[in-house]
Amino acid sequence: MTKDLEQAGFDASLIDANLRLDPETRALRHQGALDLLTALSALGNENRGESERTPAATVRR
Amino acid sequence: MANLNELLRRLCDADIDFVVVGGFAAVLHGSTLVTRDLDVCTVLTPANVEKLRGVFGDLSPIHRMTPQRLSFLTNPDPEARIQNLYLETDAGAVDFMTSITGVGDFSRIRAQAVEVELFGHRCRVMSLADLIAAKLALGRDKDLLVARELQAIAERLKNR
Repeated sequence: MTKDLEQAGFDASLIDANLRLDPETRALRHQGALDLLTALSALGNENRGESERTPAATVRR
Repeated sequence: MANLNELLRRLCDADIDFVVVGGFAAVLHGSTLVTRDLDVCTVLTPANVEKLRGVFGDLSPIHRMTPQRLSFLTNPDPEARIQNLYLETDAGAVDFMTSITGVGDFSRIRAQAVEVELFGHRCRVMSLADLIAAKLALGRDKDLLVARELQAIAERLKNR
């Protein structure tokens, strides 16, 4: 089962660590992960905006 | 920025009978996956809809599936019969459903739900078995991935 899980991209040790927590702590940690994902996503969007502007700037020169 | 715990805390504080379902229920059962919205099963009576307006009224709730982004504060009409609500709020997306594909209606889901302690309240969460059935019934790649992890969680809990 663990091998199957890992082949599907899951880290079994993270699941085991989660199961040692109470539901409220799981909810709080999930929020931390969601905040991080949102921040990374925003950063990605900013960078995409930068790279989309670069070719136009190059053409103007 | 989405704050699913704030949305859930507000629901727990309100006098509304509900069960947490979907990805956030999976998180509460121990899933390591991240979800961006809160899914809730409840009965959408006019009285409950009015209570929800009170719960989320200061978070600029809108119907996110409507092209006009209609305000939840003025839509639907007080007496309208509705099955689902898909809202976007200042604290993130929250969806309300009266039944869940592959499992059944609110009373069926509530009967099998487990109670967990959250933010000083006893809160109902869809049972692990029902959650797996719901994810398998949806059948999309992302749901099957969650089902696979939940099955592993169920196996671990059984072997404890």
